[in-house]
Amino acid sequence: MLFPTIEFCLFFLVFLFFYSFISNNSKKIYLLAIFNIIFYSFFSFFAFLYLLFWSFLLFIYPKIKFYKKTIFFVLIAIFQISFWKLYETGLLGIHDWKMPLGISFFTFQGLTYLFALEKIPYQKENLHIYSSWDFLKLFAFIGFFPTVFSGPILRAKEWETEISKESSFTNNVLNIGLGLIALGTFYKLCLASYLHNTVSQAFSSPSEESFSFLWLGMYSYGFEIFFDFAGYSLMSIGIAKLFGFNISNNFNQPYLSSNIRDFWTKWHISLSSWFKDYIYLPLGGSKVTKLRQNLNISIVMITSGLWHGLSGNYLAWGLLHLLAIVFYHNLPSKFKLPIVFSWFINLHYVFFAWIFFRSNSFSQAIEYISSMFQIENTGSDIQLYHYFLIFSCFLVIFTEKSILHIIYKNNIKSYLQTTIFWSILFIIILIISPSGLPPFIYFQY
Amino acid sequence: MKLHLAPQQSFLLSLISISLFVGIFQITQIEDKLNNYNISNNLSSYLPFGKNIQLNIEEFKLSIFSHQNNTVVASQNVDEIIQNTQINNLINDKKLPENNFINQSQTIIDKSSSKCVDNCTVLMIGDSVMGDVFFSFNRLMKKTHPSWTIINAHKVSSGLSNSNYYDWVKISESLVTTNKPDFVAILLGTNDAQSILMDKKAYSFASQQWKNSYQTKTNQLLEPLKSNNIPYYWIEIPQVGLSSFNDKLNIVREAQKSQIDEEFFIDTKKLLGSADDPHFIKYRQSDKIHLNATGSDKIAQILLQKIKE
Repeated sequence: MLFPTIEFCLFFLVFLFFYSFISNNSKKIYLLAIFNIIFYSFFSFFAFLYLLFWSFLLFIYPKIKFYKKTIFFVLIAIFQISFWKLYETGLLGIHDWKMPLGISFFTFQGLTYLFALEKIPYQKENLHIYSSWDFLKLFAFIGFFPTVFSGPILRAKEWETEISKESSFTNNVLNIGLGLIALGTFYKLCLASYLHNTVSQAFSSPSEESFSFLWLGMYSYGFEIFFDFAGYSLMSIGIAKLFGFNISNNFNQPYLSSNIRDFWTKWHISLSSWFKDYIYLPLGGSKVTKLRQNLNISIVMITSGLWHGLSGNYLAWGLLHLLAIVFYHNLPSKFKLPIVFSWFINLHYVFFAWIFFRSNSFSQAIEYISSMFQIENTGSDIQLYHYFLIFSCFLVIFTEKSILHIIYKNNIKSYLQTTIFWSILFIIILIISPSGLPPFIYFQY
Repeated sequence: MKLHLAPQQSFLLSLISISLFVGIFQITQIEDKLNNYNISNNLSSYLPFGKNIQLNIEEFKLSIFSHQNNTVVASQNVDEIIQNTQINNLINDKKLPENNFINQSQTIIDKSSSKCVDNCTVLMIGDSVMGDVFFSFNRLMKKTHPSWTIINAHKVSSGLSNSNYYDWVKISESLVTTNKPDFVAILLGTNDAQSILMDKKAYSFASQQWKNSYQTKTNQLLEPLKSNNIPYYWIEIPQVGLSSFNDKLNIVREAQKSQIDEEFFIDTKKLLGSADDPHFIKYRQSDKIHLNATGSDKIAQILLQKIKE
């Protein structure tokens, strides 16, 4: 049951109908838990049992006492992610199981509860919780349907605050929620879906494509992954907003960053801040020697690379970002490039690294890159609509802040206007979008 | 008279209204979803307004976004035909031929009668899996037979079961009439493990009526090829990773295979293995359904070999 589908629309309307009449906290949790079950079981009942098992493990965590139990539970989490990542590579020789969607997301989300109980990181008191949760609450949190498949990764404390709040069903909330969903749908259906075709073609057999088409493929993938993932995140945030949950944005115009550190503070914010809070800070963060700090960054970036998959190309992608960050950290403080120049270099470095991320293997990435410089190669030609698409992508990334500003500050006063306005807008999005929905890229992680 | 509603009632009413309003423009998708869940229905006939608008939207989209392959001239033809077919046949709701459960006799095609040598046209019909094969085949032909025209007529998410979404029987007939291909390659069925629409009725997947209808549709699809003596190659649905899904696809494969002359059948199980084979993953994308370049290249080579035989 994907977000922009008829099934989800129906599911969500029924959920919202019941939710809007509940003010009691524990009843809200009951309802969320029931709808989490329906939502996740729709995908796979086995996967749902897996989600239930992970919730149960975290539920018993505060109740058992043994030496270094936190480390033990973290190892279980690492094991379960690694197992499924290995399964994906086919090395285990098993092909017949259905990998629980969003495994890394709900594992990480669950770990925030464990860390919150243990007051990790000690520097961030606003993330700590002081009493353990009952099973239902834990399950409602870990399987929280707007975010369970692909994030943003929520923190236990953040979720607790939001569920305790009184939901307000006002025209303003409706407009903001629908605005975010519409923008997310536009990103996914109107931009990422079209880019997907170009990317599939370019990466299918790079050595047999023209060099210009491969450059187009690189730009197209850079944009596809952003619009696909940011689109999903916006839909999640909009859906949660409609029933009163305020979730922070997962992206903050990352492609406008002028350096790699800046990029990582703006890209997949919920994951990068997770790594920062639960790996980088406990390792000492920046309050250690320069050498140790570089080592800490290395651990975070390599973990981030491997989190996406246990293969050479993901490792290479993580290493490329690591190199850039270490390089940036060790630049003399007086060194400065003109902002446009540094933005241009940074953007191309990030886009270049995505080639490793998208390729099926390290060797395919190398094949792709070497073919990008073989001018004599012939293959597909770039069409006019390709230019239009890339131009539209640049336009959207430059104006995203203004678009979000319009969504948050819109002036639609009455429910009737709201209904007419958003109906027309959604129909326009459907008209522009191609038929068929390519899978969400981040569902596999 | 003024209607007073509590904020949350207005909130819900707005959302429901938006959903219903947008839903009218998605009426055939809703119909298909219901069919998927084996709920027989014929919503679009009750709401012809929604269906007509949707078809016009599809026509509009095709006119703007005609693209996505290398053979641009050919693809424009395809789009034109699809538009014409959809507008003329679907909007006017032209009925299917009466012989829906026709006798499954197979016409023998004399391949030697195919006269093309240098400027042959190959029409590629199918779903997204065929899309992968097209890229490979087109690349291969550019190298080996640059003068040939390869027509990419694949349609994502399409199949024979769901003619409301894409009526391959009608569209392929028009494609054949207009393009007069010398060879046709077909790979359909990955999206067909669902109820089938036949004569405005939906038959549950795997039932005997489903099998009969599916065989009939396969035959109807092949009929213009057989009558025009055009050699065709039916590429078997490649094996998929998930055994429960693969089992369902086996029913589709069986229904297809019963209608295809062995000579024209390309056995992908032999070629690309099944989930138990160690090299299975070598030919598949991570979803274990679609083929990667290695897998589709392999099919492309066999297809060319078959054509040249």
